[in-house]
Amino acid sequence: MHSIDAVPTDRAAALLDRVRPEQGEVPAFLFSDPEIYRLEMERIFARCWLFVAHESEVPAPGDYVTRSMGEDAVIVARGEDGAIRVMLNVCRHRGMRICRADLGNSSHFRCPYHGFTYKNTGELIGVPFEKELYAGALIKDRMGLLQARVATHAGLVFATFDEGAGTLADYLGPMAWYLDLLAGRAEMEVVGPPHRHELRANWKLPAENFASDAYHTMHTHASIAEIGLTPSATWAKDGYHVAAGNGHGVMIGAPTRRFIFAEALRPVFRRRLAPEQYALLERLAHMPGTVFPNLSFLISAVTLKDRFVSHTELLQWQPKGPDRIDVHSWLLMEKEAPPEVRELSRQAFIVTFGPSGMLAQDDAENFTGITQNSRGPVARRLALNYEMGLGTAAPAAGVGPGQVLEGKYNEANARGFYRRWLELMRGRA
Amino acid sequence: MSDATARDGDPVIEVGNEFALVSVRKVRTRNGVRLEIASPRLGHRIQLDALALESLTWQPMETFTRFLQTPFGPLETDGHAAERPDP
Repeated sequence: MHSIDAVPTDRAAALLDRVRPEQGEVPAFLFSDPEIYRLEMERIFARCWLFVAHESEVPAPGDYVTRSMGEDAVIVARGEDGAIRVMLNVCRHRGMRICRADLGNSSHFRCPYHGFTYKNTGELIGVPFEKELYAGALIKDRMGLLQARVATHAGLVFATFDEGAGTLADYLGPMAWYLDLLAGRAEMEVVGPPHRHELRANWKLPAENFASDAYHTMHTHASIAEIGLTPSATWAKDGYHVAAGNGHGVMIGAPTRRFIFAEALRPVFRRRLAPEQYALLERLAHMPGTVFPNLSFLISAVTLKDRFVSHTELLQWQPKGPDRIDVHSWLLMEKEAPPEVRELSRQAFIVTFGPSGMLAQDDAENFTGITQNSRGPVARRLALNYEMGLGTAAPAAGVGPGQVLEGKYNEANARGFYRRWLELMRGRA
Repeated sequence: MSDATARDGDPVIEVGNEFALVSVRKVRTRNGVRLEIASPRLGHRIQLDALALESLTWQPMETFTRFLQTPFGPLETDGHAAERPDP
């Protein structure tokens, strides 16, 4: 019997052979080839633990949001029992999308096509004219919404449809420690629904950028230093480059000239974090990173209205084809943050990484430009250069778990990202 | 016999999500009040008194799951495809 899963063709296998992270070579076709994309959906997005929501987005029974896991649409819902479930947003009758709103509250979901009705736990409970039309033949127990495995870390909800995947803790590895700084340093909540915008780019470009590319900040984002949001164009050079396991990458900007968070929150951080984590938070200037494959994040601080204010955000790159991304961005906030800090932080998020944010706009130019180039029959053959730091970077101690390198400018995490990508694409994970 | 009627100025509350929309308002009889719940889309309406409403407060969610086993209500429970009432 044949599997319906995509399997690499000879052509795809030959394409994968040209991805050589250990030599610092990543071919341009990776950013637009449809066959590569199809294989990524099967081998990466249908197998990895994927971020789907923050717990605070579904605080009450019946609250739900609709999200994507690769090309699969899902409902993230809190049931009447308080448990968060992640279910395929596909009616088991004829495959219609059941929830079409971005968010809502409902104890039951009703399919728009024929009215098949499900509890918000996924059980099929109502079928119009069932007795008359099916005469008892329909086995509703077998027609519940398909359930993903769900696990959380620091309020971040992850899901996978792969029954064979390990635990979320295994998947996150050393990255969990850094996610505590991001989302576990206080009781955090997301502010409002996520901002969404479309980017004509391949999903891997922003993902590897947040994991690995501090180097671009001095040139791509030079203008934000010119207007005084950041102290200098090279503000993101000092610190550490951390391979955080399983393709995850995080960069630590340190030391900071001053504590970037609200002073009032110090005791909260100290209570919730391990001493080593708190020590790093005190020195932290900024912290971008990516949880493989497509959840990026950032802690940063800017000077806004003569105030120095931090902002923390999640950015997810939802693939919608080889050259299109549905970007979701969430502002994360300490529940206990003083009101004026909340407001300034919100403004800092909007001017930097909201859909019209200056840094987001700068980055979008690069991501779309590379994606467009990668379609050219000549350009697509080019091996792009990822060799910065190959064999020359110095390890640093006393920072945190993972493989920690001195200095932020490096391309080691991008190589780690594509190393993991390649393992999964070849089916050896 | 006449239905309880709304009084001018009594607020109408709408409760909706992507699946359903109902309007809720207080209505009055000569001697008392009821809560009217109406579904403009399906054309159904019920007027519940305080005692009936109180009994809702101890229902488990399964009660409503049972109600929704026939997702379009009386269209099916009559045993035939009745005309859908005008909204």
